Amino acid sequence: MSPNTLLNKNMLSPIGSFLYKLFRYILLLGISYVALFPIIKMLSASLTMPEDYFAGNSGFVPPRPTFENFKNSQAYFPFWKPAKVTILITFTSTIVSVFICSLVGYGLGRYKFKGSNLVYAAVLFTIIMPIQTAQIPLTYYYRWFDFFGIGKLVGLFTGKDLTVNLLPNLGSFLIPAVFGVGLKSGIFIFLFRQFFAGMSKDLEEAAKLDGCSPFKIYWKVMLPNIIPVLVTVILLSTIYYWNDSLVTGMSNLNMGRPLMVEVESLIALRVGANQLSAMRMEVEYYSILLLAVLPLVAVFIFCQKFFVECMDRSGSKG
Amino acid sequence: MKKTKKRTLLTPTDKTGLLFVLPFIIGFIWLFMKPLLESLNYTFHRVTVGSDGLLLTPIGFENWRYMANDDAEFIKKLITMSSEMLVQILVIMFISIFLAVLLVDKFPGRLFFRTSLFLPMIFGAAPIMAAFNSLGGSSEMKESGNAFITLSGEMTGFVNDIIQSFGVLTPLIEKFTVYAGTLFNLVWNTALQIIIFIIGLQAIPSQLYEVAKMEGATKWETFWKITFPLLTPSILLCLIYSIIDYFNTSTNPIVQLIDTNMINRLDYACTQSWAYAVLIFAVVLIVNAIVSRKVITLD
Repeated sequence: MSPNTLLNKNMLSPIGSFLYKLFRYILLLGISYVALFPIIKMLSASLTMPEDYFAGNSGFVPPRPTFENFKNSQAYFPFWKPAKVTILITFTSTIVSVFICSLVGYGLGRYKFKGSNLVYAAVLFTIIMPIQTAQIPLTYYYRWFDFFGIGKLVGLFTGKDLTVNLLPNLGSFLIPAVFGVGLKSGIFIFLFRQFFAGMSKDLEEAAKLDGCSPFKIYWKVMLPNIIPVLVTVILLSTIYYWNDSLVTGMSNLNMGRPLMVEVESLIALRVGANQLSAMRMEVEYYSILLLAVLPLVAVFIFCQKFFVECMDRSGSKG
Repeated sequence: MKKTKKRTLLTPTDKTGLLFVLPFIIGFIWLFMKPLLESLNYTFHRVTVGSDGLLLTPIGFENWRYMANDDAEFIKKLITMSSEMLVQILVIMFISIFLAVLLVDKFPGRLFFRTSLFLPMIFGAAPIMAAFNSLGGSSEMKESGNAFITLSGEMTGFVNDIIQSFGVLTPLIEKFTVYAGTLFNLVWNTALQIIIFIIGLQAIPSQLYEVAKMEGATKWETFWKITFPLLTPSILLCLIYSIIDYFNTSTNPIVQLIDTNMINRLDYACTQSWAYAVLIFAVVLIVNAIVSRKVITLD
């Protein structure tokens, strides 16, 4: 039994303890059902034959389970092509973004310098401002991208501004990630800052006495101590990049459109719907949705195990 | 002489701190403020899309005047939202602390419950939810919420009968039933908060609980004297996060309004979203000022 169990057995009578456990299970089961409903629904619908689905008496368990829907939907919605684009964007942007956010969060959480409060206010400001506001000017930025005005400087001599179009490649995701203003970066910096600020000074000072450089203290001493937070942030960033259709929808990638943009236009335009009966369409669309969230659920469950372990370890250390 | 003076202004730690946040400072000025100020500039122009970029025609404060005086729908939505926010945020905080306390113990099936409560973070995404709604899943979803609510409703009905036989507290129970009705939305909005609270709960030193046990404190006293005070930093964090999340989710009516205006009238949409951001900033600053005074840390 965990040493910091909140409700200690000794504090409750046996009956009270049993009632508490029963109450907890009933409550958690009920809430889990509400939370899990969409995936149960997607899973059951996509495994049901269209005829059975519309007969409507099957409940959640398909009477004749089938993979036909997945196979049929591939004809007009080839899953792998957009999925590869999404995986590439999500993977690269998340790594860069989380690393930079942890650096910035560390700087804000552990150092007091002139203007640090101002920078912190700026971080809060990036969280609060609805991103749509800057999205259109930003798109024009990336279309005619110019590194710190260097392009304009070149333009003074050659008569033509040197600019790069970042929209067809990953630049429009990686450049903001490198500079700590990627997707939801503000929230991650905020989380890192909060947890770094809450750590005790002993570790840091011991490392400083041993002659560690500031970056080494961050990388070798402080970061390993907030692994639960790190995993959580990686997970969140993965979810945000995977599910984003606003920022990714603005860019015009050479390798094709990412998954969520395709899903959005599939649903909005009902691509392929005219060749299908209404019956087939609904179950097949559910199968597409299920495929679109399944990789994320897998990552989530993988991280979750790791995450729970880390949380427990951080707890027992006390 | 002057040079040495300047050097003393920035101590070594200052410089390293600055170095850590430098990427963000560049990004903030160059990739965030610059386009943002450009969008502020749009609010004073009529913006039309031309062949090689945007065409701006200056119109002064026209957009702002229109928003303040004539756009009744926007103002009305702002007011109703801000008042609903208060109740919703408090209930979210209560539920997520409650669930975190239930989930922090070791018990069989804990991994399953933790995972399933965090999963809405994945489906909550705009494209998936929009698709799910348009396929008719959402009406069934409400039913699934309702099934649970009916269950809890029957339970509250039962409790209600008991309490009514004593003849008190009926209005309170009615209020509770109303909030139980929004349970579905709430469960979907608490995922990250639960994570933060679980981390916060785990960080409380176990010695404190051992001492409390030896002193013979009840679980109720332990919660209010140890757990709650030491959870206040997490509470502040979650409070601010929940407020921002409430204002900025894509299902929020104002965000939707701004999004649709973005396509039709870019300049007016920018005006609205600037006004909106200023409001959110004010709310966050006020909450932070009030709550941060009550925050307790171990050091």
